[in-house]
Amino acid sequence: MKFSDTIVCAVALLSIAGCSSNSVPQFETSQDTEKLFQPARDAVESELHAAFGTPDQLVVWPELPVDFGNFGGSIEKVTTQGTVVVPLSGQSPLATADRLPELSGAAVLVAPSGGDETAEDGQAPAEKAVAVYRVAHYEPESKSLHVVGDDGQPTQISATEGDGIQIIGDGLQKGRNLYLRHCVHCHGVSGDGDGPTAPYLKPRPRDYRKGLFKFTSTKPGIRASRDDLFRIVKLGVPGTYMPSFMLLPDDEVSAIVEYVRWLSMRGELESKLVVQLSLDFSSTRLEDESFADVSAEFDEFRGSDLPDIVSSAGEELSVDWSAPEDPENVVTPKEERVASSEESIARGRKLFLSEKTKCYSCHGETGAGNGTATETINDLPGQPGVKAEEPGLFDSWGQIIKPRNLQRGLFRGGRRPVDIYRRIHSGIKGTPMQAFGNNLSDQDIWDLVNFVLNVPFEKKTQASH
Amino acid sequence: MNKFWPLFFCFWPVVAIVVFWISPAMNWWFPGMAMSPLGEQIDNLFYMILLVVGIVFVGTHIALGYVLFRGVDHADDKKSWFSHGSHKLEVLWSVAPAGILLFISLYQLEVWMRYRVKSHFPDDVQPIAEVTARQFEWRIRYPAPGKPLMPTPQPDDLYTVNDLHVPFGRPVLIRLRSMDVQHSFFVPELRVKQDAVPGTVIPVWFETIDEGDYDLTCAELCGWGHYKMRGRVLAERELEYQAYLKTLQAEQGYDGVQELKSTGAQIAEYSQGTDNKTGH
Amino acid sequence: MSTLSPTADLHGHGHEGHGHHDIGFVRKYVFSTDHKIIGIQFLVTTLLMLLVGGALALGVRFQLAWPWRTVPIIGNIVFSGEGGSMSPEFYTMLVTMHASVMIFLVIIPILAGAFGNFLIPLMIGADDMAFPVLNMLSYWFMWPAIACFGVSFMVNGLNAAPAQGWTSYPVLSALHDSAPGAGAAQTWWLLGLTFVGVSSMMGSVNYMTTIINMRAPGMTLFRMPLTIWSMFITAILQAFALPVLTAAGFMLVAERVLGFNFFVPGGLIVNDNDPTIGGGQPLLWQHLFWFYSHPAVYIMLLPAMGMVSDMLAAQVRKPIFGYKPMVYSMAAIAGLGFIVWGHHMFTSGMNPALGMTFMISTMMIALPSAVKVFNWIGTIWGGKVRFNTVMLNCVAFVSMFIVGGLSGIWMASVPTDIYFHDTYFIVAHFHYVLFGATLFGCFGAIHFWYPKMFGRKMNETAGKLHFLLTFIGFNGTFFPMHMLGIAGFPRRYADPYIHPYMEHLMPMNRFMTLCAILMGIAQFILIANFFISYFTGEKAGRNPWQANGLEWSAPSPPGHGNFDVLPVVYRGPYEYSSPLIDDRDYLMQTDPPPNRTTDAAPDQDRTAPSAEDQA
Repeated sequence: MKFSDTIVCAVALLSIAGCSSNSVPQFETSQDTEKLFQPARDAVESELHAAFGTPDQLVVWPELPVDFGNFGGSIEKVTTQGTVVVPLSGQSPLATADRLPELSGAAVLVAPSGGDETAEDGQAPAEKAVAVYRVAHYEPESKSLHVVGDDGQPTQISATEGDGIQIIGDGLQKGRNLYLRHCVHCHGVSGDGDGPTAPYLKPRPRDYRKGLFKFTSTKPGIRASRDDLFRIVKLGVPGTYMPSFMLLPDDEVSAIVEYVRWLSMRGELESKLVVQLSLDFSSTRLEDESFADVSAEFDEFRGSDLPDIVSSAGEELSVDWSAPEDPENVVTPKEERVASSEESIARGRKLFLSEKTKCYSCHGETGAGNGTATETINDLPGQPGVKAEEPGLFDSWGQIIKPRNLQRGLFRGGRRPVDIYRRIHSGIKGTPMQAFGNNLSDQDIWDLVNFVLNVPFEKKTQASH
Repeated sequence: MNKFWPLFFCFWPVVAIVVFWISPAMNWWFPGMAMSPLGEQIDNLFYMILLVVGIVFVGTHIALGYVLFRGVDHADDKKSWFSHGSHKLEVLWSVAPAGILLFISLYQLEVWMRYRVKSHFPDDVQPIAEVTARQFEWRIRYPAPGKPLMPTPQPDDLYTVNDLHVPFGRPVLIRLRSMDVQHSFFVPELRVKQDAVPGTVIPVWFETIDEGDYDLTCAELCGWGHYKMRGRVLAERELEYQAYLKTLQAEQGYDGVQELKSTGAQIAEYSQGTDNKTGH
Repeated sequence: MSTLSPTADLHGHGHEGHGHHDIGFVRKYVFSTDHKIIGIQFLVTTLLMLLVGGALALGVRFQLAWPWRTVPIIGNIVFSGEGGSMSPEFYTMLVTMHASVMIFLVIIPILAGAFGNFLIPLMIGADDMAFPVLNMLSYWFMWPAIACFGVSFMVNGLNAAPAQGWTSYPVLSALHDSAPGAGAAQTWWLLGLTFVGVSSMMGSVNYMTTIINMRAPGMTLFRMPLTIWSMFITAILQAFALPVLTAAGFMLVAERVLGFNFFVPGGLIVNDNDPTIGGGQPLLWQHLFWFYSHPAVYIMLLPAMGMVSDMLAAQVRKPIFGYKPMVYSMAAIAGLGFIVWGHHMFTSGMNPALGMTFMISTMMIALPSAVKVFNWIGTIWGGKVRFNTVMLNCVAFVSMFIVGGLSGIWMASVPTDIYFHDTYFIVAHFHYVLFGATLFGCFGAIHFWYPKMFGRKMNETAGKLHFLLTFIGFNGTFFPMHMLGIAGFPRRYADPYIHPYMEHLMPMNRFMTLCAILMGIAQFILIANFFISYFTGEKAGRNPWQANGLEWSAPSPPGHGNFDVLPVVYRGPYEYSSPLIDDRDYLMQTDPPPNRTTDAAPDQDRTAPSAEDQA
């Protein structure tokens, strides 16, 4: 047996073994979706696919309040060769000038002028007839834009001077690339907080799909704002495995934040659909009825009712996720902080131990996080009257949660006075930490803030570590 | 074909030398000149050893090549040179390397002492920050402006993460600790490295020659996020440094009422310095 | 004093030797107490582990060249949800297990277990080891070690396999929650380490006793081949150093399982747990670990040095240049090797005064290594060189050892070590000595002693091709690591390129990975050569290399009891080109002193040294 033959065989075998196709990450369906009757499950998946796409083929749903990094402008001139002269400017931090040359193939929306607003947050104007093209080529020096039709065929752009142009940017793709590099192994491809590293982390990484984020500056019931998420990515969450990405440039952090919001909206759409569909189309129905009957009913439902459900869900998302950007919805103290004097701290301690707030019942009398609630059976957060199965406190994601040990001086949502104010005023969304803003005056809350910030410096009366 | 193998064994050292020679031009080399005086001394030591090593490398490979080539010439001889060695040569090539090694040992003692022995630290060096490494970031505690850094946290201390500001042009000292496992404070451009050992506080001093933004990385395996511990040491003028601390103090005392600047802008202001698109 | 076995067998018919009684296949080949079979068992097992360790390394190289892309072959199986890209903890597992497998399951066993076992009795004229059953146990303790490492991969899943570095520093390796791989997997890893240690200790005791007590008549200490000297010194190193590692391993297991606190200080918070109670010192582990692991690197080097000396002398037909200096150098390396361990800890925060003492001893240890290199070159000097596979591998040993040794100078010098510690400069250094020197030495040794083991020669063309591709691949992979280290590229980073000062180094890493793949593929040539030659290789006589050692006077392969005629030793092992005889350029140790009036045939009856016996 010749050696040359052996070598050739070996190399051939190895090259076959070594070549596997490059696979791409896939979104996963949630556990609740899995409980639906199969055609309903497929319908949910296909609606999600239509509205959001896959991680490598993202779909832009302009209705969503997501910053896609759009560029916009007003047409200055329409030339005879079928191009338009339009100075384009970025409409958000994601639309930086260096991205302009890379936009070929991007969608171009032409909105006739006269009464409509070219919205500045990347939303396409919804009411007027909008013509859609694709960018063939944009020259920044001459500001001239060449387009092709939406199908890729050459075409003449029909527009007049003064019409508004929106080019859908690739900010979301940029966010996706950054997310896959920095975030996916903990937070998972779908943002479900279940990446490969997640099982080993306490607390577990955030599951975005509820649209709930703990450390926000917004009022109770309002989603997290872009600023809040920006802050979390930049500063990290001290005391957890969420590191600080302080040194990522701002535009990259903004891109990640947009992508996270987009994943969160996707998760919310999925659960909204599942809630509606599981009323009538969960797989338990098959225990009593035949597949064919349920199927027939579902087909009719799918044609007549499902599209409305989807579009109203989209509207809800649009409202819910635009609200946090409204300054009215940001919790702002009305009074300046009371100076941190011994009297203020004493008042704060009194409030901490009072029946009005009952802070001690969770945080313990010395603030060590060992209050009695950690050993009793409590209601589940957001579900009054529904008891947990085990003693202790739980968050909305089903994880056991420890009240903060104030003696450590490590505050996950930030250590500024305003951060602590917001935690007390609006609670921590998704956890048993309630909102006390309605029961306490600003003065009270500032006293509590001063007390809390002083706890690590109190003389230790009990051995804690 | 006879000479192929001797040629081969001479060829590869030539390639190695060429690669080494072009490396600085190709940027496969130190990340810039050393930006600290001790770092410069380390670089000098590096080049001195490089000279010695280079001579030995070339010399031994010339000798090896020579004996191999001659080995081909002798291939048809009936016998080889029947020698059991040479006492003189043994002495020569024991004493000469010993001398060189002794020289290198003594040459570098002083640099080492300046780095690590407390009694040899610069007289005027004061701790300006406490850097606590944790999985997977660098938490930094400064004293309030105008106050000295105390060993235990004080109510008016300032906190930040991954972003160590120091004044350039004078020696500064940080207290290095760890909150969980071992890490290592490594600033390649300053040639500084010190392990952060849990349960200890280790004083690390350095002096930056010029303003600049120097990468800080972790150099001791600390878990899956070992590579993620990206920080920076920003050396700036004394005035800017003091201004930074004041900004940090204002930010840390922000009660939401004074100014309604968006938090993003605030962080941008103090984390990135002036305009900054690359985070560098 | 040497002991002759009273039952020295007088047959020499290969494996099918007619034993005193038929002991069956299992006793003969599986649980054999014959040192030759045990040596071959070690050899085959370690070659298999070499492939495992190499595969793990290719995983590391893949991530550094194409970060976060789909991993070939296993990506879709293990990480299908993420599109096949590995997770960061998987990467740290790869670097950990690559090193653990290569060090504990390949290099240490192949040198002492495979070659030590096979060669020691043959080269000193004994019929077997002093303790054959202990010898068998030393092999069979390797398999529980392999099993423990294997279990550590699976007990919590591949993502939670040991990932704390082969150095396994606490606190990371002591607390269960500090990393995914610090759970049960780490305990299994420590158990595997303990089994390897037990196996090595058994071997070490055996080798020391055999070499001291069982040499053939006339085999004085300074007539022993350098291979034997190196095995002897290595065995002493093992005996003194290994108990410290085993103790440290037990301490760490006690810490993890029984709640002791040797290494973990108080007040640490890991993974949101309560602060540790502590009372321990992380540096204690480092001292204990490196007290063994530094001599371990000489354990991984000295036998190869000894074997290369023997092979080189045989291929250049000359005595070793400076035999006694070579012996003393090896002893000096071993002795000094016990007092240099702190050079792994210059940045660890230990007392800087200690740093200075370790620096001096580390500089000193460069000296005997340099002397050896000069002596090897002196050995080739004036020789008629046979450029066969064995020679090529030996020359590569010398050349790569020069590089590895010289790069060590920057690490002995403490200020430069501050910069280079935990960068790729260190990785370059130890791969040059462990792979470039030791492993090439092993490749040469495989080719050289294969005829003695199996009675057939390996294919020379395949051997040279394997050498060429491995040499090129090796240098392409590891030489650029010196540059990476100078650029400040830290070790064990899953994605170095998020740091701006390293972004430009990806093309170099890609080049290195391609060379590593070439190197990996080339090993299959060796494997194929090894197995195919067993069946179809050219048959070899007793002494196909015309070499001088005692092993070449035994049949190929030797039967049970090794020698058909009791060996008596008349001279040292390197009397090539001796002027005492005219018609040959070698004079075996067992050849009686040539009488110029009669033919000096090698198979003469020899019972006792004659009065004219010369050393």
